[in-house]
Amino acid sequence: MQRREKIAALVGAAIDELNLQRGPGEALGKAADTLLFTLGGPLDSLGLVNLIADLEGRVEAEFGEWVNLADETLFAGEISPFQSVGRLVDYIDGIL
Amino acid sequence: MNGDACLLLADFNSGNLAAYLRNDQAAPLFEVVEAPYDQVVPILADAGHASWAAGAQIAVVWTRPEAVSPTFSAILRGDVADLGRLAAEVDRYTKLLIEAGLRVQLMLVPTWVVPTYRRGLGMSDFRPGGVAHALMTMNGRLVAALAGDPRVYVLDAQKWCERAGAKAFDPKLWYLGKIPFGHEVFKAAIPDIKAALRGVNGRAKKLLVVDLDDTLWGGIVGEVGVEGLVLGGHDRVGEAFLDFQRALKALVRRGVLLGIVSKNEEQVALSAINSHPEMVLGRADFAGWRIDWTDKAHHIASLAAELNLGLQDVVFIDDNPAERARVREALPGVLVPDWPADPSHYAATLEQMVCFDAPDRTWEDGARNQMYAEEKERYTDREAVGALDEWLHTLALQVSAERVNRTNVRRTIQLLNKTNQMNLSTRRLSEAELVEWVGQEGREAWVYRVEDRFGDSGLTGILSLQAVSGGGRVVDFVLSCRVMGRGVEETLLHHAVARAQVLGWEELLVEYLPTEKNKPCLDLMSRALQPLKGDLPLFRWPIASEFPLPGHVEFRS
Repeated sequence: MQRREKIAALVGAAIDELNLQRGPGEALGKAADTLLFTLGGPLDSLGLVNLIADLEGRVEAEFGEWVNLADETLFAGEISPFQSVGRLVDYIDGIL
Repeated sequence: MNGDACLLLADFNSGNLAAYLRNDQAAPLFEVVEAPYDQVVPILADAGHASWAAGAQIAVVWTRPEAVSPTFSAILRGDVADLGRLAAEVDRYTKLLIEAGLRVQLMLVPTWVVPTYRRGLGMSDFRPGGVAHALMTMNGRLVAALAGDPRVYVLDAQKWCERAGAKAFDPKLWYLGKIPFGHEVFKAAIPDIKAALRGVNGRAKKLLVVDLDDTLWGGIVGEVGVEGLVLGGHDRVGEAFLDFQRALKALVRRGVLLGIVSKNEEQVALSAINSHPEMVLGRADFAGWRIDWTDKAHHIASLAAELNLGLQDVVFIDDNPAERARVREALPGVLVPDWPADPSHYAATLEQMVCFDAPDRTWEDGARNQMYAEEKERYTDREAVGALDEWLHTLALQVSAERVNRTNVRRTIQLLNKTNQMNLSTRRLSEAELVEWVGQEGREAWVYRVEDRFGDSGLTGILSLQAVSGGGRVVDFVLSCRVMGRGVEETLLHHAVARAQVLGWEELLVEYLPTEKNKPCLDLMSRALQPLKGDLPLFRWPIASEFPLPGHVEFRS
């Protein structure tokens, strides 16, 4: 499995965990264009906290490297990596 | 209790707990209201705080020890701390819990825990000054102070952390979102929270039906005989069955009824129960049984009906997956847990079931199987004696009345809230509501104990009366089905009329409020009293004449 595929699988597993807290009909998808934390997106700040904490742990366990996904500069730019599933996978792939 | 709103009070971000609670599909379902973050003490202290205005029936108050006790916080930092001050801080907080508990019907307080990675003083941590020592002191005082409170219950958060294992504490979640526990801790907490609510609502399971062969003992008794059964002895499987029976016996002592549904020859099976030297359970531990070759689903339904229970009150344990599947399919209301193939896991599987959780344990709970066994004996005897009147006269039935008071109010509430059949108005009240009701002028409430030559049935009847214009009315008329049909109901009517005479009422009215289950009460009133016209069945008794006391009853008030 290529690294990008592995990262996508980790993001998918973190989304599965998030979905346990979401009501019927509110489950997040895992497709690259699924919106996450963005204007009108489905994820609130608590959901984002849970996603970051979960994903950082999974990435570290898989690749042995800590990535800081809560760096405030990530949210300041026009294009946040948390806008969508695809952008998040790209971002993690880029910094590893 | 409606239980339709649950207030979460925490000194941390309770959003994850709230989300898991909202999405948990196990009954009861309720709205979850989160109080403002880290405002526990001000909210507990302020009865007028907006958080209470939502009218939540249930509150979960979850705090970290360092947030409640500055002294504990100092101990975490390694400071030398005054343990007397630590105790005083806990006592102040506990007092707030007890006072705030009066605003809800149920308050749940998880024990204080610290992350398992904190080693404190290592080998000296259980000595004064250690974190573990202080934590145990705090929890000990909390538990002791709340032990007798009818509304506030302590839940064991340490167990949830143990179940969550390495995922119990995630510092990332704390630094990112002020969430001290991992998701697995909240997930482990929810079954206990829901079980407590079910228990308070009277939804705890009441009857556990077990199979015999390879469930209660190892082997098939019809094939290997009593002497060939695997039970006890110096044998790992025999010891496992013995421990399973001990776990069942502990449930019996908690008031859970035990029944047998087994495909066997009845005499052979009962002989094993009577004569195997290592049996922990005896015949008196079983409220009833069905032992023959008939379909088990049919027998479970019939046994539940005999004990006046609904199928939703029943749990069925059987080693045979086919039998379990059959019962699940035929009786969807019955809880049929998956059961391990290895008897080594039987006791542990039973002991971790949350469905039997109930808030109180009274003398009647512990003795319930014994009372059902006595009831079985009564009716066996009744068949032998013949005519009903003759049988009633042989019972030496004694009914004693006492006013509802502090010592009997808990059992009174249990009986009031779970009796359906002989229940005139099916009023459901909390302990506090009953005490308040009785305290008002022109009202009185009585409870009745019933005893006969077979044994003591305990507190089994309730009567409450209220003055109304020109007379009085019966508000509650409740009788356990265990003593119905023996003249106890007529004894209660006799007492009601006698009280009305003492109180100077001109007539006594009895208004029947119909439910799906209380037709036996209508039948009684129709038979015993004079009907009045109206939308609802209304009955009266003219006070000029006394209601006759059944001749076979000795009544004391």
